[in-house]
Amino acid sequence: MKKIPKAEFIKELSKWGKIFFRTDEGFLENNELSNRRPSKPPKKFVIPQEEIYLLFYRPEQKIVQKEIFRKEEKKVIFGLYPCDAKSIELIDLNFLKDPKDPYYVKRRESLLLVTEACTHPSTHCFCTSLGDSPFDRRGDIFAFGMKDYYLAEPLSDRGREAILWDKFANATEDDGKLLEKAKKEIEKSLEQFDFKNIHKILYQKYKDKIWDELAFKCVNCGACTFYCPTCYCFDVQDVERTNWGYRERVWDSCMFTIYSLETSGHNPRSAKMTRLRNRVMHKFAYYQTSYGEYGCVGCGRCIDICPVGFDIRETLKTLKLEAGHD
Amino acid sequence: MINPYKAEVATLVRNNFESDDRAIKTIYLEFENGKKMEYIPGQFCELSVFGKGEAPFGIASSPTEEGKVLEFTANRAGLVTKALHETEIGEEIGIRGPLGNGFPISKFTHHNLVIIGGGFAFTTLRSLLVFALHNRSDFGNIEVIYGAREPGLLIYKNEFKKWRERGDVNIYLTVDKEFPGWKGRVGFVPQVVGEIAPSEKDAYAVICGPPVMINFTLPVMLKLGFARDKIYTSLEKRMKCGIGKCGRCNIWSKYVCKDGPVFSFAEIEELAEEH
Amino acid sequence: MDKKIIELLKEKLENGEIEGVLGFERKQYPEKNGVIFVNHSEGLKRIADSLFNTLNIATYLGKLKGKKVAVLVRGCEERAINMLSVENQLNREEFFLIGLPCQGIVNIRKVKSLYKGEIKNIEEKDRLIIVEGDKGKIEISVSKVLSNSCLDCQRPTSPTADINIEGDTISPDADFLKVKEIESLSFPDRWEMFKNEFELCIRCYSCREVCPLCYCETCFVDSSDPQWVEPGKDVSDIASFHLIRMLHMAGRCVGCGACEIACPEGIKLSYLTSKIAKDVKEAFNYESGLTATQKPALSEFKQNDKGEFIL
Repeated sequence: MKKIPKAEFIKELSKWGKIFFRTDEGFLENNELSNRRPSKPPKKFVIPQEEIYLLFYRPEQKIVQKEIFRKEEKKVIFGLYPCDAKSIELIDLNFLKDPKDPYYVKRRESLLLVTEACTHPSTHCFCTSLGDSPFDRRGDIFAFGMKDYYLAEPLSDRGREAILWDKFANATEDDGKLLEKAKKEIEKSLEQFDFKNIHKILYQKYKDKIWDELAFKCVNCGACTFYCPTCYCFDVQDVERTNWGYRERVWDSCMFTIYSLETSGHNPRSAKMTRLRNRVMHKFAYYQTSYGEYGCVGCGRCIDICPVGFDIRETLKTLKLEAGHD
Repeated sequence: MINPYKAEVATLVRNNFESDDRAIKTIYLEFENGKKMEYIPGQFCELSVFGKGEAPFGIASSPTEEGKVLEFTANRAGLVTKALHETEIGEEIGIRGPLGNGFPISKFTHHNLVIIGGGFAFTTLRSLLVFALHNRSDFGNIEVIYGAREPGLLIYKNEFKKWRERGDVNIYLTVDKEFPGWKGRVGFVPQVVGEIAPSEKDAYAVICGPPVMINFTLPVMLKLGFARDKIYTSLEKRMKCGIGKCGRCNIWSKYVCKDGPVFSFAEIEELAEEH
Repeated sequence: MDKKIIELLKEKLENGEIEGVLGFERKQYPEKNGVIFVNHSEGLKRIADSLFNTLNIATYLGKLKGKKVAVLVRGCEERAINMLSVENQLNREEFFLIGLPCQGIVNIRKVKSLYKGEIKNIEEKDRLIIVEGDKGKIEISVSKVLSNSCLDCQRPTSPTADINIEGDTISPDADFLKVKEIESLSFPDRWEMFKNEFELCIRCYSCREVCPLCYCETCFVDSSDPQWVEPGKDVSDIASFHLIRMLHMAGRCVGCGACEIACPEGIKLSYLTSKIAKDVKEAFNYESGLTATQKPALSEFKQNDKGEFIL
């Protein structure tokens, strides 16, 4: 690891691209770093809420299509906590698997993810319960903030090429010890549940009646899916004008009734409980089956924002208990 | 990089109504650049009426048919199907495909085939049937059991007449209830399957139809001795991207658009309930 | 909760008169109070009053169709149940309503804006909110942090409930002070205010789902044939959604404020709900949900209805 004075680190990074700092709200330009993870996730940098991707017009009976690729300026997402950095990597799994999403690829290549070790978990954080750590090395560059310095190291090719690492002094052994000490303290401070094999219990308990009770509070609004850093489902709609129009995709939510409604009128998930169950299964079981990783990073934003007090930690704990008693 | 979201363009060259109530229509498309699409029975395409939307349709034509025309049959039910019905000959529509996994033809060859369909879900079954008939010596016995609510709603009626005349395929058509002018079989598809009692020996079965029909036909097939991994179906789901990205067509960890739409009942064992 | 009420509910549960009780569960900050359905006596101790019971409990009645249930209600919740009854969405006979004396609900955002530090704990005592955190301990008068909808409350009590618990309530105000302030603005200024407030909307539909009176199987905004409102973040689409929804709410909204508090962006939906309440009161001398038989204002025509809009 290198030891880099804070102002210099920022200056070097700004040569790569425009810097977006972690704030209480989200990731914004020209800002001071906040002390906690932002209330809004960084996913809008890789999947914008609204994206017009095809333009078409119909001269007479013909069709002319035009793909809309925006010029993506290079951006440095600075101060991502490891949970948020992991969330981008999890979204990558969906959009970069074959067939690759070319719009996503273009956006992703314009981003440099600079992860900062999390020294201030929020009230509902539970990353350690999923086997992750607030000091996980993720993203393109990993940094640990000290008083006047960052201890930083590149993790990817993009990170290695981002700044002139050789310019800077190496971190000392004492610096390393400080990092380790901080890491242990933070990890201990987080309330720990053991959710590491929860997918097995979820598959086992899929048909259990307990889901009616677990899902009772949920009104299926969709707030959790909009604030979740790994939720990426989108809807595709055509917008028609006089003899031209466009096709756009917008954030969608599996909580909505019409998410899976078929034209015939048949809705495989018409009951509210089935949609909530599907979301929990997707994050903690299906993602595991498809990619070997949970689709949740334990950031707790869903618990922060839920208007009815639904708590995923409670739900998973209850399911574990039920399974334990079987 | 290929953009999987961009559609190719095809022209509507022909269309005809399948059902007496004109709600079901077959459309024939030809690619604007003259290409002949390569696909296998059971795959689908996303058809776009730009401005209205895009929807998935099973390919009804067989890749072995002459010419470069692709055939799709659509029931007029929503925004996109309405627009497709109203598209005029000569107009262009968007097409993305072939998508999906298709039927496991390599498994089916040198076996008997039992094809069971209901309503207007016979589209990809037509593709499979015509493929098998064009490669007749590669398959054993072929039995087709197809039913609809009333005679007017049976699709491909003229073709069924021709297929019957071949003599090398057993065709059983049925309607749910007695209907004036119908002299054929009467009975719900699951019932008729029980009466015909196709043999499971060296046989694969494919069932396509509304969920309620599949739910009642599956137990009949199991009772006849068919193993779950020998019975296939093609699932339908609301789809948008068609390539496993938008998330909505999932059945557990599988996407119907990408890992399906063809599944054996051994693969979707736990999931009949949700479907 | 009142001891007598617990005894009453215990009795009704044990003799089978009711299958369960619907009420709020009180949690310690930072957890949120949620709605629970209790079907055995030991669970009754989980139900408690709180200034942070910020949802409208009537939203949950749809999940309990066919069951005989006791529900603890405040004024706006009772009125929502009356509206649902008039609109044939539920059978009033299936519910045993216990009227609670409503002291209003507190908007946590107002508390957070007054305590500019990290909050560790919140307690309620008398008419005070006691906040503790890294900036020490402060006491805030409830009147300073009441939900905006409570400021225009038309009725905090439940006259049509089966039984009522005595107690102090907030005074019904319904002076529509904020609405009048906005009405005094010019139209361009009003549009600026509306735009600034509502462009935060992310179309998550929390407002719609927590509302007890938004129960349509297919919401107009979900319809694709015809497509009434386009998806997306353009302010014209956002405005369409909110304004059309408000028109559907006119004469039906009970002013509970659940929508504003549920909104993850903190949008002042109360501006709209109070405005339509004021308009309906002035035009038809009507308040929603007063009885289980009073028809909604916009679903009937009376001879003396003002006809100024008819050209």
